[in-house]
Amino acid sequence: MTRWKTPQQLDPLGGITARLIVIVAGIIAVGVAIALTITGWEQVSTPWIAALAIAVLAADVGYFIYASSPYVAPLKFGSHVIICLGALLAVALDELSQWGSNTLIRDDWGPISMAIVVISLGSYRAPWELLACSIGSSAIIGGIAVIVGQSGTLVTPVPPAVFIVTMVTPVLASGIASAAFSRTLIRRMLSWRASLANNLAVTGDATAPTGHLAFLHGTVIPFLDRVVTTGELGVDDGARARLLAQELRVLMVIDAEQSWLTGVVDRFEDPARVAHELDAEQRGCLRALITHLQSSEAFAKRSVRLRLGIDNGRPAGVLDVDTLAHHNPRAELAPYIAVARHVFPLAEAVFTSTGFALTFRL
Amino acid sequence: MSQVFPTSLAVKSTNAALAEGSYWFGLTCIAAAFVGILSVALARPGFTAWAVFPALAVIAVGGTILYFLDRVRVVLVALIFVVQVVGMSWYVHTVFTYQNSVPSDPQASSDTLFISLATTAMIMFGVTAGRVLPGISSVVGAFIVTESIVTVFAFVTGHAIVVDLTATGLFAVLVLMLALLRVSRRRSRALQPAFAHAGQVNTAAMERERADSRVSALVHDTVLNELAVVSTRAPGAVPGPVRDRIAASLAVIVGENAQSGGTIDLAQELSSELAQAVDEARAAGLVITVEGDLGSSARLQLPVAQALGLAVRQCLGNVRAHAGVDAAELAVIAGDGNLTVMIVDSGRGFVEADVGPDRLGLRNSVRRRIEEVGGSVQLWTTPGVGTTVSLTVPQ
Repeated sequence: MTRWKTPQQLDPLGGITARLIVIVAGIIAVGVAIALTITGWEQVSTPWIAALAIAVLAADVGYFIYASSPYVAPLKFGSHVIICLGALLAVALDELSQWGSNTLIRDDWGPISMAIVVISLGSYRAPWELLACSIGSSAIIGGIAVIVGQSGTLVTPVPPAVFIVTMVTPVLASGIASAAFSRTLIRRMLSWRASLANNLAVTGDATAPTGHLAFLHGTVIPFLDRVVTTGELGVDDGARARLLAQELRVLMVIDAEQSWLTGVVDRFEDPARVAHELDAEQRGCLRALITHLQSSEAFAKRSVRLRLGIDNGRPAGVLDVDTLAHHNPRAELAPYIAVARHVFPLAEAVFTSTGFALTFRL
Repeated sequence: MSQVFPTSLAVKSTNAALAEGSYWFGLTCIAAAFVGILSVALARPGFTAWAVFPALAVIAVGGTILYFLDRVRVVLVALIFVVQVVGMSWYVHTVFTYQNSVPSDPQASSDTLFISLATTAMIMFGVTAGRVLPGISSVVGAFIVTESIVTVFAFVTGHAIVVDLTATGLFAVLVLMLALLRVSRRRSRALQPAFAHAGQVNTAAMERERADSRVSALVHDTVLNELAVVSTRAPGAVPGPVRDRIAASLAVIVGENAQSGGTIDLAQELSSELAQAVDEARAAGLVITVEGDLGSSARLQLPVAQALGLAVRQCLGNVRAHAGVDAAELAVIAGDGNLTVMIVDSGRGFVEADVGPDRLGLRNSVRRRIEEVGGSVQLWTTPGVGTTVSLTVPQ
């Protein structure tokens, strides 16, 4: 459903671009929490809760960094909810740690740190989901602001609505901004995809004949053409027709058994003929990855193997390759893994000391 | 391969997305300032700073014009700049003047919440302007101009000049993020050309595979039959009907190849293929009971109707050649956006796994042909009981 498409689903490489932002933003969010806790230490009434609040935020950020990894991509709805709930818990604990001694609401780090986390989500989730999550979070934070405002310890002589505005604005603005960011990215990507689909028809090359077609045009059609033109059958024509039929059938069987992957990998097994079930995106992903494995210096030459088959009733495959000593290909393969996890319903990358394997299901 | 967005478009799209996100961030801050000040105005009798509301509106309008600006127009950008400076100056002056009239207000410094909200909005509108202005110049410019306005009016109105940590922190984080975005994009998108190349090779290969498959199915349906006919005939003159049939088969094959080059519309020739398939099978001696409307295929798109007709012809041919019976039932069922044709015989049946690789009819002429037009094939067969083939295609 287009409405719930995410930028990461439409452009897995964009998710990798945004991950550095997630890491740095996460560090900044925790840094802000620590700095404001220290500078506002006189307002902390329960230090262990203040420490717990920072720990919860740090864990939340750590989970976000993990969930945005190309090796576990895409970041799912459940992860989004966990990240939002974790940040909300940190906000609540921050306020609780200052209960009874909070004089200024504006120097509370909770909403600011949560806003930094929320704005980093724009590349990963759908706009309506981001908007709903930020509005829900803002409502909860608004409720917290009302409770804090009634504690009687705040010194600023302003109406309660200003406390709510102070606490809600960072998260609400970030949430709306990330939703708008996500919406624009998705619109542009879908527009590009639509133009791509319109142009696909003219990109194909259907001119090179395969074995049986070459035989058909070179031998069989001239033979039948002669029969039609002359209207006569010679003495040997019956036997020749039988022979041509046999040869044509054999060549058709050979061509039918050929896969688009034959010759692409160094060793290929596909007894159940799964290869033709791969769609265009899955084929493109495998072809790009295989090309990289064959050209990268991290892998042994001529060691790329692909096995396709049926596993537990579902088409599946294993692409594996030997790695050379003193090479760690994790970083260079990350974009390919991210794309593979997007185009296959299930894809896992396994690194061992001697090789790399991508297992996937269709 | 369509799942990898080209880098050039990714850069433009990210910039556009940043511009839109920043615009809404800024607008939310303006709205928050509006709501906050309104609550103060309603709570405090004698509130005098009503001018903040039109001033906020001016800032919002300036940001909105920037949002809709799709290319650099020097005069317009300069005009927006002037409007924003005027709006921000008006707003800051009004807020500071009002704070001076409320001596008990402990927030009478230059970094008061309502000043921070407006400053934040101005900086975010600077990011919005980044869509049409180079690099981070617009963000830096917005920050410097806004902070200068606040500092000047704080000095003029006697406010304590304090560094606005919220606005300054936001500015620093924004600049850092924009710089990181460039670095990260360069790294993550380095492989985009490889994906694009794989996609092009792949598309060409799939097109060729589809074309070959289409021709292969036709070869199976036509040329192999004609060779079989020729091989069983004695030397001598070829009867007219046999010659005509061979000529028609050759025309189909040559026509399909030419169609790849876009010169012959073969589908038109074969549009009534489903009815033809039934007629041909009947003419060959097969008794066919039809349930449903054969004319339903007329509502199909031509390539789909063609594929369905040819597949049915192959299925009926299989009944004649392999089932060992001279009767079959054909049911046509339309509904749910699909058309299903079922071919049922009570013949020998077979074990699908035992079918040799040289038996291309079911694989090429039926299954692949139907799947290529977005349809599906189901097969039920039991040795000694019979066979049912169900062909479903989209209407």
